[in-house]
Amino acid sequence: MRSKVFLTVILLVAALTFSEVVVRLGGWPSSPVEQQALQAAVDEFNKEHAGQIKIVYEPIPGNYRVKLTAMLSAGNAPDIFYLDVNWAEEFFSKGVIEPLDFYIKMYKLDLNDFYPNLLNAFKYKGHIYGLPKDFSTLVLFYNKKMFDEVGLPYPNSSWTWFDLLYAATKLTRDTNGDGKPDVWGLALYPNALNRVIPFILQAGGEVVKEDLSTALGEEEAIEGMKFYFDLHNRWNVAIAPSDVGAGWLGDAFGKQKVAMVMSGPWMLGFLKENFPEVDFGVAELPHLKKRATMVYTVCYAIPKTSKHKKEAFIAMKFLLGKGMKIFTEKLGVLPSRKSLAEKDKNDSIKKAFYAGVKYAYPWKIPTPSGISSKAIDEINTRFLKVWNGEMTLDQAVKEIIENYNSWVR
Amino acid sequence: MKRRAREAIAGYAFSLPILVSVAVFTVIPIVQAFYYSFTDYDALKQQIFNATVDKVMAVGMYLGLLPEEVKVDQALKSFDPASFVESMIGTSISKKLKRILRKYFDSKKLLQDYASGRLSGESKIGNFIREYLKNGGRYFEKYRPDIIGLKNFKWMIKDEYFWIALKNSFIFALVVTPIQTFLALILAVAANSRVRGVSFFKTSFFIPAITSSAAISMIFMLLYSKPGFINRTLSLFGIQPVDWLNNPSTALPAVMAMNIWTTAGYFMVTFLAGLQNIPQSIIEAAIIDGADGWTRFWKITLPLLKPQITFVVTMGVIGTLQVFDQIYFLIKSQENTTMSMYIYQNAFRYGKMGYASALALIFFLIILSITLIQRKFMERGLEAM
Repeated sequence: MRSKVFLTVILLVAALTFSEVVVRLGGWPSSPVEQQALQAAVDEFNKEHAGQIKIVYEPIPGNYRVKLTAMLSAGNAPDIFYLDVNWAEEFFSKGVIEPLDFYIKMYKLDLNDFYPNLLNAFKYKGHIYGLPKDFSTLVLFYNKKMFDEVGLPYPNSSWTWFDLLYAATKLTRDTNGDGKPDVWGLALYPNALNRVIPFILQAGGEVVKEDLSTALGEEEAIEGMKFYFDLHNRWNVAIAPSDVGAGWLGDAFGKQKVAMVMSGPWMLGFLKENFPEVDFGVAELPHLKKRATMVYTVCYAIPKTSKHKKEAFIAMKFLLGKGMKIFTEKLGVLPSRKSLAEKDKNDSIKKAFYAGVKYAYPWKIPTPSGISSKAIDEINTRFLKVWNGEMTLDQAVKEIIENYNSWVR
Repeated sequence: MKRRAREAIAGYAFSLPILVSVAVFTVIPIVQAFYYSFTDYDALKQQIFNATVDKVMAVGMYLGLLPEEVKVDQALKSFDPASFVESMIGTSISKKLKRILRKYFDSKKLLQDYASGRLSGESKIGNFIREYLKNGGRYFEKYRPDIIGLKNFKWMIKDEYFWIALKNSFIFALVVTPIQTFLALILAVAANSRVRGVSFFKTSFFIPAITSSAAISMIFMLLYSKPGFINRTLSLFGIQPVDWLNNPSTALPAVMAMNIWTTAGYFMVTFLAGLQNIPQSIIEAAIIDGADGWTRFWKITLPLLKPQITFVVTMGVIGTLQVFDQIYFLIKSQENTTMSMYIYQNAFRYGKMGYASALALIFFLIILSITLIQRKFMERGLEAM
């Protein structure tokens, strides 16, 4: 008798598991909180689709891109996974990602609700390969106390480069009387093309031209780069985080060694956790000829080798709808859909991030081959030399123009 | 005889696990890397013919027409099987495959099947192509990288960072190996003496060798940082702080110093084992003959440590040429990259697995020849001692 019950239970369980289509979801968890937030969204989906589709969330810690490459080439990649906009195009160009245009029509996903800048970031040769799950724009963080000390008004969205430079000059001071400054106006990364690009765009320049050749040699682009490096080399109002023993911008800002940094929403949680005493505000990045900022975004994508693409898309659609609501609310990140952004309308801090996404540049360098990592490394190597004064900007630009094509082949 | 056979079987059976794992994880990859170094192998393209497609969708997306809208004769004029396959795969295919497709692909049949609704279901891309291919189907069974001959090697000559990486690896080996060997020897002699608390010193010398590289790198990142311990100590002597790891001219020496610190203790153990193997009687005889400590060290200890020195120098050179983890954690500028790091970058960041294989092959040959030369040289040099 007992064995019969046992057998029925086993059969029932087996029947249930086999009738369910399992969709594997892979992504890098940047924090345990993110992992829990995504798991909560997944659990909600599994409850709604019990017996039909089941998402199994497989967090991939460590070197995600290398692991994903290996999984894709072995043919056992998850059915849905994260792709970072910065290197997504390389994956699109190699034919490992399924174009989603057809599924979007078939399952009636409303694309108008997504921020167009984010959506376009994952288009390649006219097809949509991924859909953005959230985003982070760069804004200007400022330390209210340090501004008060020198009697400066806080930054606002009407600020231009001149206001930034003026404030930074005032804020760079010697507080202990040894004749050398010990607090600075700004902290900047010495070798980060992605932080220089907003300045290039603000000056009216471009990153690449229409034909995908580099536009860094154009007059406006050089003007943008020059301003960035001049803040350090010429005006001495900006330092690198490592100059004050900080690991990154947020650390330097939290230690109150600098009054301003240009950083993203990840700062919010970091400051609350580690430097709750810092009274800060945020404003849109200053502008010159144009407004510009950088947006970092990550999409969900489906590999061509997936055996359950339709089910994967149904799961993805959920993760971009109700799932995104659960995920972004739990984690405090910015949703890629306008309708979900509504709730933050009166949030004085988040406003600046949302304002930025309308004119932001997605962090990628489009190239004919889809490969940009080498070009970025090479450019950053030269930027570091410029920052350190070992090379002039003109020399760096000259080398970039001369070699660019061999880096993106 | 029977017993010997049985013994042999048992012997092989016992060594089978290691033989298999060496074959699978070392020998086969080496052979493959050798092959890939003559190709434009791209790991991401490995599954291009294994991906599944919905046949109707694939044709429909390419034509932009529904089945009922297709007029076969008219559509046939503009239908290019090569570009159809490329659009289905989502990436470019080699000229050779294009030629085969244009020659043998039955476009007419495909269009007829599509128009008449006979086409249906999902299929692997490779199988789908082969269904309509009159000849040459084997080229679409699985991804085969293009053989590009010596192109990867020719590119290397022109590649500025290949030379920089090679130079850095050599500097690393040439500086680190002698110092670490010398230091390890001194530590071993010290640890071998009968002083109180010697086991404490032995342990503390050895700890860096068993600590994870990542942890050590983190500690040194703090030590080397601008307001870090090292700069603070130097400032006592009036030296301006240096950003050791972010400054391309000091980053590599800083990592070298750290590498010496971590490996000296490890090699000390090797020397210690050698020292303890030196018979006490020889040393006693030398003492009776009136040899002082210095002479005993030069004439007895050092020559008898010959096998250990050979071992330590050989392993040291190989280890330093291959250094990866500490570079991966601490080096930020391309200027300071080393060979193993550059190979890794090409393989996993720049999407050039073929080129990375070629780099690895050349680097392997360099290490191999250095080791061989070194063995010859070391044996002779030590015999003379």
